[in-house]
Amino acid sequence: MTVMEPKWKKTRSRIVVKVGSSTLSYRNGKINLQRIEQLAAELAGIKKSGHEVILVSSGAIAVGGGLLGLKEKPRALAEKQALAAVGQAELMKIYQKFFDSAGQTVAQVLLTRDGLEDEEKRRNARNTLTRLLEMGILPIINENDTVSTFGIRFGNNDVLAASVAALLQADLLIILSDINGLYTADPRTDPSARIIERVEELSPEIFRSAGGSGNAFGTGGMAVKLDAARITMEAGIDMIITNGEDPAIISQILRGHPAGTLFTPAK
Amino acid sequence: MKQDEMKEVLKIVVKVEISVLLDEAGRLDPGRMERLAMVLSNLANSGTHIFLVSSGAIYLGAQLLGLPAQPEGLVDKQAMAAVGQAELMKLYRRHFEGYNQTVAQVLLTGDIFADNERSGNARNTLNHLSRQEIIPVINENDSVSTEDIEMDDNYYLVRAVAGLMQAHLILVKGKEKNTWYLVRRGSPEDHEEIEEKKIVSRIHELAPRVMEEKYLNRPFPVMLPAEIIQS
Repeated sequence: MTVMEPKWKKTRSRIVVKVGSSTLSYRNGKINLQRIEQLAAELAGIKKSGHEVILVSSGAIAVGGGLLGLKEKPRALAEKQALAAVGQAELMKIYQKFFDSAGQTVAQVLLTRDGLEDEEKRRNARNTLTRLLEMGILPIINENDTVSTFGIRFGNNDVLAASVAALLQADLLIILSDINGLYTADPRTDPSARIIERVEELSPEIFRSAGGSGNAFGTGGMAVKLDAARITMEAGIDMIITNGEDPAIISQILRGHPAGTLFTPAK
Repeated sequence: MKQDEMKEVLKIVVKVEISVLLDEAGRLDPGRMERLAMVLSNLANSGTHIFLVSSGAIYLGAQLLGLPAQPEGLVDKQAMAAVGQAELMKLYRRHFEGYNQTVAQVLLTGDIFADNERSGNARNTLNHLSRQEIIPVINENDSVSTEDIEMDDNYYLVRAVAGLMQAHLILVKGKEKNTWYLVRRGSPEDHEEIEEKKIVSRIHELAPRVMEEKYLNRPFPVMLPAEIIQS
């Protein structure tokens, strides 16, 4: 069987990388500075080697909570939004510091779902992001939590990242998570569980696997990652879910090493 | 979660000698201080309590006043320390702020450790700061100390703070970039060189062992191993 070489295994491709709070923080919820530093160095390196890189990053609420010394995860929407307002500025400060050391300029872009709904708004967002990429700037995107209300929210950054990948016709979306990929069963309870390396169709069987694996991990769990996969597959874009513990995995993927689960639309 | 119920937090006394923050020309290197702030903020974020013992007041005071770094008389030294300690804290505050880490100044004198009431008070203050997720920056109160306990590069103070706080580990910044030393309770040979990026993982790997009571009953080595002092 000959597998066609994916589009992103070329020197110049457009890559969207999504990192979740679980990758950016310690288990106590405080920010993992070392991880962010490694991520910044990794992405700056990929950018230098010729790829276009867009980062979709969560973490604003976690950073805000740490900053205000909150011991518990906020529940009320207004409280989350207040924390996001404090935390997003701090998160960008930290990103800026590490990207600056790596010689890479970054820009913050906050999106809401209604900002990607009609064609005019889509064009506007696309133009801004494309212009940033042309200028050699690495956009860091997050949901505009402070103004998002129920109904206009992406709800989670996996879906946001997939929407951005579709908007920009990216070649690849990499979702860095605290799980290794999509398993056939829950790896915590089923020793026979193994990683599904390649998904070409979102079959009911795949959804069953997702239901049984890793829902307690991260913010969205595996089910919302499949929502993201649906968006990228419909847009003809490859998506990889893998563990973000070592951000160097990104350049390994771009060199052709298999990692986690690849969702690739059947031709 | 079980981890939150853990009453004991890993406590680390960090020793930073001003000489490890200087560039080749002998000036304070902002890059090194920035790095130090990042490494310690990250270690604190990972769920440990850090007590930073830092020298440098006399050095910075001399630099600000344009005087030689090794003043002769005690009074000169103390005047310089008064000027330099404020400068030292200003620099620490500026660099730690970049990582959202608050620091506080705590100046101690040797006699505190000999007095139960005063040492208890110092311990309460330091514990309180830790619980507020503030890193205390500790130095000898050079401006009022009459005897020089800074003789051995503050190691006396480091060891006294480690004893006072029942610290689990002492982390010493080495002279070379990226080089640190981890000193354990027990024999002086129980220390290891540690790369900067391995600090968090190594310390958390050691945590179960160094939090055992029989480990905590052992004192830290009286002298720092020669290898560390010379580095």
